[in-house]
Order: sequence, then C-alpha cells, then structure tokens
Amino acid sequence: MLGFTALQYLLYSLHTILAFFELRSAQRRDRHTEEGWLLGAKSIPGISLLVPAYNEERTVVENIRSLLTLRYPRFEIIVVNDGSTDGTAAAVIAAFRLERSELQRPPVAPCQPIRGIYRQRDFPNLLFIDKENGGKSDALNAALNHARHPLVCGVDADSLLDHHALLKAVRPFVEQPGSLLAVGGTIRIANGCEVRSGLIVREGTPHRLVPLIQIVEYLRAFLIARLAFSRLGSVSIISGAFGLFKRSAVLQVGGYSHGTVGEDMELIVKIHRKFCDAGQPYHILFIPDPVCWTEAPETLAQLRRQRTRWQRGLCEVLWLHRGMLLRPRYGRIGLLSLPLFVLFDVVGPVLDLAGLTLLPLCWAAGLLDFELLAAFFAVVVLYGIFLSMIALVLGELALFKTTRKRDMLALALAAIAENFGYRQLNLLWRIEGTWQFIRGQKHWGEMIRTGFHRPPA
Amino acid sequence: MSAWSPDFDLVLLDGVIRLCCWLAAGSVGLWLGCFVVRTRHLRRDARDAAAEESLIQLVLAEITGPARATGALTGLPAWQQPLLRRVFENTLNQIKGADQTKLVDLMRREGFLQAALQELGSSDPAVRQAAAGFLSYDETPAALAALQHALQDRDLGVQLTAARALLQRDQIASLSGLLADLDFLPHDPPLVLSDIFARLPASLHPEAVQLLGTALPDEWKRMLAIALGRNQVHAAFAALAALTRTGSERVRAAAWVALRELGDPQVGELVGDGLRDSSATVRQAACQCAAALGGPDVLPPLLALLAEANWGVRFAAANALYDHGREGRQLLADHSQQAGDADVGRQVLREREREDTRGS
Repeated sequence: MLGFTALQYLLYSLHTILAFFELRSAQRRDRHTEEGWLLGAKSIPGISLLVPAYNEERTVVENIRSLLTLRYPRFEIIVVNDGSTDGTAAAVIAAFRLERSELQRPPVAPCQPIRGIYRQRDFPNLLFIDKENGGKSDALNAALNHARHPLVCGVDADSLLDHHALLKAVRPFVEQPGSLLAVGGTIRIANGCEVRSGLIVREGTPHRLVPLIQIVEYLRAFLIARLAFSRLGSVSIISGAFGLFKRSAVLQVGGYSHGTVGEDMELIVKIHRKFCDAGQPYHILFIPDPVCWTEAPETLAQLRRQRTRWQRGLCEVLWLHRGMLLRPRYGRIGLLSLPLFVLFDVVGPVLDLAGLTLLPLCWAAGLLDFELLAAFFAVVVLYGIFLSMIALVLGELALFKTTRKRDMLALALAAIAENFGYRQLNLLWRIEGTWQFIRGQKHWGEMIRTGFHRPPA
Repeated sequence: MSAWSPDFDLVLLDGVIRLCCWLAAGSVGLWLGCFVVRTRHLRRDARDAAAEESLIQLVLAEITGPARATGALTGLPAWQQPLLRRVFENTLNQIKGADQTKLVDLMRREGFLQAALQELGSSDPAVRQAAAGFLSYDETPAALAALQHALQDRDLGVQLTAARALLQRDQIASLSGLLADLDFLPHDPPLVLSDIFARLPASLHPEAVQLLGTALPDEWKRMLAIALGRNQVHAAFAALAALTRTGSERVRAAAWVALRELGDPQVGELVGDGLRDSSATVRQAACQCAAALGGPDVLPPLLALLAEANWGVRFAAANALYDHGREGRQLLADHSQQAGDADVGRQVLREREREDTRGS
C-alpha cells in the first residue's frame, strides 16, 4: 500500500515537471501566429459548434448569446434540444425568434428522430435542432450530421467560451494541418465570476467552499495532468465541455457512441484505436490557453452525483477498450495512458481509502506505531498541498490575468483545506462510481443550474 | 503483539517527511512569490490605466485639436514612456488618412521612430517585431531601408511584419526574392504565407503568374492560385487553367476555386474536364465553378454527377444545377421526381426555393 502511494507520488512529481516544460513550449509556440493574421485570413478553417442541451432552460439562451459574440471569422452554432422536459426549446425559439426550416442532412452518425429544425435570417450562423431524447452522444451526433465546417467543437450548454478561445484553439490546426485530429482546452469554474451578456467580465471566486476547492482541483487536473500527457503525446481525454475536432475523423469513427456517460473520453480513445489500427499518423493535443467556463456543483450532494458519474464513464471506457491495454500497437495510449488510468483512478482510490482507514485501525489495535501513522498522514497532506500549490502557480503563469488579492488568498486556503476531508470524500465517490459501473447503473443524474452570476442592476 | 516500527523504516520515513515538507514549503514559497508579483502588477495596472487614459486625451488633442498643444507630451516620467508607446500603437491602428500622418509626425517628434530604428538591433525578437510594426507607418527612406534589412532577420515574425509593410508600399522588387528571404519551412503557419500572397501589389502579379508554373511546394501554389483569383488577376487565367490539369489533387481543386473567383467566361469551355476529374474534391470545386460560369454544355455532366456515390459532390452538383438558371432547375426538378438517387436533388430544391421565396 505504501509502495503504491510512493509510486503514485513519484509519477505525479514527474507530471508536474513535464507540465512546466509543456506550458513553456505552449507559450512559445503561439508567438508567430498572431490573432490578427488568423482573423484576416480568408482560408482559416470554419468551425461548427455543437451544443447539446437537456433541461438547460436557465442557461441556454445566455450561453448561445455568448457563443454568437465569439471572435472568429467563420463559425456556426448548432444547438440540439435533446428532448428536454423543461422549456429549453421554447426559450431558444422565443429568444432568437426562430422559424421552422426544411433543412435535411443525411444521418451519417446515428441519432434519434428529429422533430424540427429552426433558424433565423438575422442569425445565419445559428441552427437549432429539436429532437427526441437520446442522450448527450445522440444530440452531438445530430449536430455533427448538420455541421457544414471541417472542424467541430463540442460545447456544453452550461458553459461559456472565452472570447478568443476558438482563435487560440484553431492555431495548431493551422500550423500542423493534416495529422492533427483534436485539440482540447482548459475548463475553468465560473461560479463567483461576473458574467455580462454571456461573457466573463470579471474573474472571481465563489463564497462557498465546495466550488472554491473545485477551482484548485480543475487547475490541478488541466494544468498538471493533461499538460503532462500532452507532452508525452498520450492525451486520452478532451473534456466534453470544450474540444475541437476534425469532423472527418469523428465521422470516421462513427460519431459519438451511445449508451456511455463518458462520451468525451470514449471518442478520443476510439479515435486513437481507429488510427492506430489503420497505421495512420495522427496526433491529439491539449493546449492550456483556450478557456471554457463552466458552472460547478455548489453542494456536496450534486458533486457526489457528478463524480460518481465521471467514474462510471471512466470505467465504461476502460472496459470497452480493454483490448488496448498494454498492447504495443496502441503506443503510449495503450502502454502508458490507459494503464495509468486503471492503476491510479480505478484501483488507486480503493488502495488509498484502505490506507486511510486501515492504518488508524491498526494503530488503535496496537499493531502500528503512532509515529508511523502520523508520518503517513503528514506525507499525504504535505504532498497534497504541494500539488495544489503548484497547480495554482501554473494557473498564475498560464491563465490568471485579473485575479484580486483576496481571490488568490481564498484559492490558497482552499488548496490547503481540500486535504482535510474533501479529497477523502472524492475517493469514496470514486469507489461508489466504480461499484455503480459494476452493478450496471446507467443514469446521468441531475445537475441543478443556478445560472451564471450577473452584476446587480 | 508489538507495534510495527522497524528502525530502518523510520529513517526512511524521516527522509520522506523532510522531502515532503520541503516540497510543500517550496510550493508555498513559489506561490507567495507569485502573490507578491501579482499584487505589484495589480497596483501598477491601476496606476497605468489612469495614466494611459490621460495620455490618450493628450495624444488626441495633439492630432485633432484646433491648435497643437506642442510639448504637452515632453517631460513625461520614464515609466510613462512605454504607456505612451502603447497609446501610439493602439491609436495608429484606429485612425487613417491625415490624422494618421499627424500622429506619425508626432511620434517622430517624440523620438519614437528613431528609437524603433535602434530597437531593430535588439536581441529580443518581440522587441524587433514591435519596432518593425512601428516603422511600417514611417515613409522615410531610413525606415524603408530598415524594413528591407529586417527581411533578413533570423525571426520569422520580424520578417513577416517587414514584408507586410513593404508589400503595402510596393517596395518588394521580386516575389521569388521575398520568398527566398522568408525561407518558409513546412512547419511555419501556411496562413501567414496566404496573407502575403493576398497582399501582392500589381507590380508583382506577372512574376506570381509565372511562379504558378514552377516547382513551388503544393501548399504555396494552392494559396498563390487562390490569391490571384481573388485579386482578379486575369493574366493568370492560362496558368490556372494549366494547373487544373497538372497539379496535385488539392492544387487542382484550388485552381478551380481561383478560376471561379476570377470570373472569366472562357472557363466554361474547360469546366467539363473538372467535372470528370478523378478526385471528388476537384469535382466538387469544379461544380461550384460550373454554377458560376459554365455554359449549357456543363448541364449533362452536372446531371450525371447527381448519381455520384460521394454526397458532397452530389450536393454541389445539385446546387450548381439550381444556380445555372431555368434550364438547370428544370433538369434538377425532373431528376428529383425519380426514385433512388434523387434525395439530394429534392433537398436542394426544397431549401433553395424556400430561401428564394423569403428573399423575394
């Protein structure tokens, strides 16, 4: 158990070093392709934004408004109402005065029947699809079928994109045309930020501890783990909230898979598998700068639902693609990325939690010295603080621009506080998610949206 | 049973705890460093924002006011000089004509253009690029000479900024010389080169047309062809027509795009070949060209393309028929009555007729 913890910490340390190097390279890479060049260029690839929405009545209109103001010369927004039971469809149709259209496209990627397609001449790059409920993957496939541009970008309806996010994300496609299939960006938490007309006008931190700690957690996940995997050329997940894909590659693997809750990771792993099997050269990147903002769960109950769902999604993907594990033909994905997920995200929580519960029990039973027990907990807490503070430093170098002093202090306190209870709860939820997967549970659970914070009138 | 605490483990553990303490303390220290720097930046940003606001007013008063308040900008403290420079940069991008000339004069009076000449020798490529950008507004022989020299800079960003400025003033003697100076590599952003081609002045068009027939890399040739089409360089017709037969798949497709942009009616005699090309991408591009410029001869091959396996080509052909006029639309309508491969025809008719009704 102690050996496993040591191995885990060794790899995390390695990730941190790699993340520093990757961040530096990413910042250097951007220099030549100025945004001005990209904006003015007539041959820049067009992007279709795929926005699945299910019961997003409160945030969907604001989200679409935000997307319409994006700084990018050629893009379209395809919003798909996935059979919502609330007023999502009515809200969008009314807000943008949409009219029914006869547009039809061949269903290349499988999806549920479409009830109606809507558009409006004043918003020529907005298309709204109303369809039967079929899940997020199904909605994304419906949007994919109607996309006109060579690049597609999955965006969650509860998320806000940075004004320049598409310009930043498209750079690698411009600079390395051909073999690049997908680019992922950083997801940040919008709770506590000030939103005006669908744009983040002031970064801030939430007052509640649960979303505050998640800010540190997201920074750690994106700026350490994903940057390190990008450096190693083994990106195996691009968040469903924001990822840019070559449409032909997504269609080549049959679009998004149905019946999985981890459709974002499944798509990436499927692409890796397909292209490795075909022996086609390709690569997938993560770049830290394009940022997408999302609303994080505010309560522990909501967070638990989200985290168990994520864990189930991960287990499903690993199970579906178990044939790739430790197979040299799948390169670093098969030999490194996926085995690490199994080791640290599926087996790891069980061992970690066993350590956290068994060691005090052993001490209570007189089987273990107190010094050893105290040392174990000290190492866990100190290393946890190290990782979180480094994530904050990376965030400071890569992302933060307008943080106030009090926000920085709040984040630092959260980075320390999360080691006392929050991380342990997360371990528990991960084990619960794995157990739900073993028992075959499939539901998504419900996320209660409060809507983005607006400034007082 | 005694508690487990062997001596060597404790020694090891002591080392591990010390290491973790150092790591945690180091990371907290790093963060504190960031915190101090950020705090300073926040203070400085607030001060700069206020100063910049007043500098903008002063600069605007200098160039647009009834009487010039000469000297208002002299004697600024050293920390305000970079702010003034930023104000100049931002204002230059926003104004044109006589006001821009006045602003350039003001910059010269304040010594910024002379400073930019010296900054071209800086070791920092970002400084050199900014200086080249600044000098691109200066019409003096010294600035032109400095920009010509900057074409040989070791940094691509500096070279491109200089090239853009010189093209704008028609100061590039030879396109092949410019391309040799820029020394583009396959990993350099192709869009940048596309931008260079789009800015070619008329004096370089004959050479650009000639280059289409040489052994340029495919990606360059493709961008050059499209740029010539968009810039309506009619002298490029023959070279573009030759490219539709001899280039690679992407180059052939680009040649058809360029010919469509060029709008020369002679293309109607050639487009049939494009519609029968072995590549679906090329056929699709040729369809769009046929829609815009093709004569009645293109109708049979367009109709034949409606039976294609490739959906994109079928869609382009159906749209081309619709755009071709009454005869094309009738053919498309007749075809859409048939079963089987008429799906795209029906779809295009439905969508386009609806759009036309709305438009009218």
